[in-house]
Amino acid sequence: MIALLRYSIGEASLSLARGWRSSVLAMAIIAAAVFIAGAVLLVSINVDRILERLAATAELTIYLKSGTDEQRTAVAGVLSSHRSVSSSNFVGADAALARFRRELPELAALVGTLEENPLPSAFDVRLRDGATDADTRSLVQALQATGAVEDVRYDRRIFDRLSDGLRILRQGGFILAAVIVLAAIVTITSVLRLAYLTRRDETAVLFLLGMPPSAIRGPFVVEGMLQTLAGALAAVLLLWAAFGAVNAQIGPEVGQAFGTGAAVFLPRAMVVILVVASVLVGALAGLVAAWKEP
Amino acid sequence: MIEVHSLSKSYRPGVHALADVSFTVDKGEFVFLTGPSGAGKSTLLRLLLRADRPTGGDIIVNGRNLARMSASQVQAFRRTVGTVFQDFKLIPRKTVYDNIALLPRLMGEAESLLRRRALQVLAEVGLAGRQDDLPLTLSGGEQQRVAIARALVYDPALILADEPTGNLDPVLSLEVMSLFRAINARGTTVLVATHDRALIRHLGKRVITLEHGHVTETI
Repeated sequence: MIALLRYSIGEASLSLARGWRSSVLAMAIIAAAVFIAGAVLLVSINVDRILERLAATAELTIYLKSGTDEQRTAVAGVLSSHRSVSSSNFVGADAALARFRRELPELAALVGTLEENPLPSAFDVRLRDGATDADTRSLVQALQATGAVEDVRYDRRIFDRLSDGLRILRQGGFILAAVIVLAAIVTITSVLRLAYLTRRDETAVLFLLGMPPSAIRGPFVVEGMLQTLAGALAAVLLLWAAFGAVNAQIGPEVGQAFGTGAAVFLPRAMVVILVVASVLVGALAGLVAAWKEP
Repeated sequence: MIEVHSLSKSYRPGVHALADVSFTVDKGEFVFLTGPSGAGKSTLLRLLLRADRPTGGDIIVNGRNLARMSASQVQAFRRTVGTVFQDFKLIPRKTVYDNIALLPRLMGEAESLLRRRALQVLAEVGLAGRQDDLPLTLSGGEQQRVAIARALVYDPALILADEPTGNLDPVLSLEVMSLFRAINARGTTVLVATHDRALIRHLGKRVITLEHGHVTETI
């Protein structure tokens, strides 16, 4: 087994050196496929974190007109009975002002000069998972019917748009990656088939002398694995460099805007899966290229 | 050692490369297979190596029916047969030693034992000290001797040679045939396909003659 492995690695290395131009082409294509798949995963992971953060914050803010306790009770009644509401929290005008000063300290001085508190009382409302746009519209209509509501801020739309965008990005990205992976498989198989045909006389003799098929195919399987390993590692390095560059440009602003902190790179396990999957594709291509007995 | 019963081979319907061929070769025998070009000698050797399947009949080598072997059994069987080709079929980019040792090494032979065995067979074929040479730096006769050393490294019970002197001049041909005779003298069964009548007469061994796919004479 060790002798077979050593022979396969030696022959594969020689073949890579002899046909380096076609090997570089195969590596570049697998690198492109892994880069695109990795980039889609990377964006997906970070947008997911933003969505999680948005989902954990209030999705509806209902600003009340300055009025009586009865009106506030009516609004609270609608919120407690409506099927799309998960929880609600009343924020009085004083509490709203305190929160404004805490969250926007640079504007705190501005409201400090006013004689009256300009901020209305409000309810922060979290919607149930799976609440639809129609549910939310019916809630808003019921609230407005109480006559106590000044305005409704609807954060869910941002969440839904981001979710839709992410879904399209994932689908489009993975379709593109699948097409390039397919092209990579065809290219690597062709490159390996060419290498196999170049050595056909040699393998035919060894086969006639009794060399096992595993030893005939071994070098081509290893060659495919080496090509895809190099391509996948190059793609991960490029992705890491691109992530670093983009993150340095817009990372802090995005993290601060959504409260998610710094963007994250692909988890180590995912990088390993990407590389291992690529190497398996290379092994499969080698096996296909050398499948037919000489 | 070899039993061939009613063997036939057709590559196209109605065109027989071999038809109803039967013969036996005893253990330790030296047999020439002869006949004009196109008589079916190479086809018969390919069938004896299971490089092709017969259209009909049976081939039994060392008690085993080749038709009933699985793919992995065929490869194991081939390793028990020493095969020598007309055009040597050495791997030009590998040294003499690697040409001889490649297959046994891949089959897990210990390198120290393998080296001793390879150098021994190289000495037997008269090429002691040439293990690090590349095949293309050797003469045709020397290359054929390396091919014979490669065939001997497994110490096979049977040697099959397809026109082993076809690319050699008469003197080198005699040298190669002397080697086969020496190998046979140690008890190895040798079957040599050749159309060289002079060589056959010189060695004076048993002859099976093929013509148009039929055995016409067994002497």
